[in-house]
Amino acid sequence: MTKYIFFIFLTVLLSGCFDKGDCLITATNLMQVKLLTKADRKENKVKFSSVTISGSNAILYKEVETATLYLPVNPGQGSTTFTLNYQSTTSTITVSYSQEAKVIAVDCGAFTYYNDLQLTDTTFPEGSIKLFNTQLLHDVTTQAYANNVEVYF
Amino acid sequence: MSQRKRMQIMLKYTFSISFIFILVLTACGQDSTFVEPADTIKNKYLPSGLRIGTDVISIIRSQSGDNFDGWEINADIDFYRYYLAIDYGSWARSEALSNGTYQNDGTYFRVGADVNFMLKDPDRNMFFLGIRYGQSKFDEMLTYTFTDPNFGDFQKSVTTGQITGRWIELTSGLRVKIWKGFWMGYTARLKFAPKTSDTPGVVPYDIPGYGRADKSTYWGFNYQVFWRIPFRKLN
Repeated sequence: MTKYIFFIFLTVLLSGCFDKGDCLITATNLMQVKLLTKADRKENKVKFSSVTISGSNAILYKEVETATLYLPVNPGQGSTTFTLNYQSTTSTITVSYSQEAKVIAVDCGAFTYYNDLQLTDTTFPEGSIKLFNTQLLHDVTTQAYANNVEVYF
Repeated sequence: MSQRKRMQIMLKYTFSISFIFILVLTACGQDSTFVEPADTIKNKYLPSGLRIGTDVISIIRSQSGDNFDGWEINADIDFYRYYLAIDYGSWARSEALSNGTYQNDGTYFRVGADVNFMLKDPDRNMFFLGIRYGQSKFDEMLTYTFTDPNFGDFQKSVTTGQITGRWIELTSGLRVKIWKGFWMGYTARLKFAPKTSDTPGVVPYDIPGYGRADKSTYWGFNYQVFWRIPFRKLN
């Protein structure tokens, strides 16, 4: 018993020394949008001709077929509009969000976290788009993103 | 397990438990075996002196260019075996981040009580355990840059003023009389339960008097020098 108490005491004591912190950065400005079938909520690959973003000239997903979109929100604005062109259709999604600066550690630097994600406007019919996680997060160990939005086709 | 081994373990634990009991009884029940006159008991709790000091480590750290500038004043006053302890300090940190700079500047205080476990010492040298409540008021300035492949380069600056931080500490240490009114000692601190006021747009990084805000426990250490101003002679 004594050795366990000593071990616990030593662990608590040494835990105070590790103040450098690991550079496990979960911050991202990518919003994950999953595309699912309306009937049974299964993965639904859609062929996009392009995806454009307000505040940027970048064209994403040019002639790409995918069931998951990673859409970057604008760090310089509090809202971003995405225009999705697919199968001769154009749909838009506008999201708003708040930003929070956080120092991870001196060696890692500071990063922006995006919280309070909200769907403020969309041309998708009601019930065919749903917001899940309101934080934009990226797990560096599993390379997984938070499930932010689902769109049902 | 043999009978002898079992006996050894039992003796070991009996000794340990007895030792703890003796320690607790020494702490809680000293002088309980005889009744003192009422005026002696009353006088016992009258303060005999005020000890004022400073933290030497803070001064050395400030001078060594360790991105830190601060000082701390400590004071305690005795009520028999109990001491009221008050600390007040200043803390400014400046860090060069890999993608920017971080600065904070503020003041803090701690207030709490210590219990002296060396009451029989004629000089009132003390080994103590104690508890503190800590609170700080501070400003933070954070500037950082980053590049987004779709939106270009960004420089963000966030300044937050009048942030309040608070925490709890368990303390332990020594105070030793060196010469006349000159005392030296140390205080080890286990700080925990940090909380900060709401800071929209930024997560506080470093709380003056505590340390990294994201650490639920933190260790602190002060090496202190004191001057004791006596009020009355010790019994």
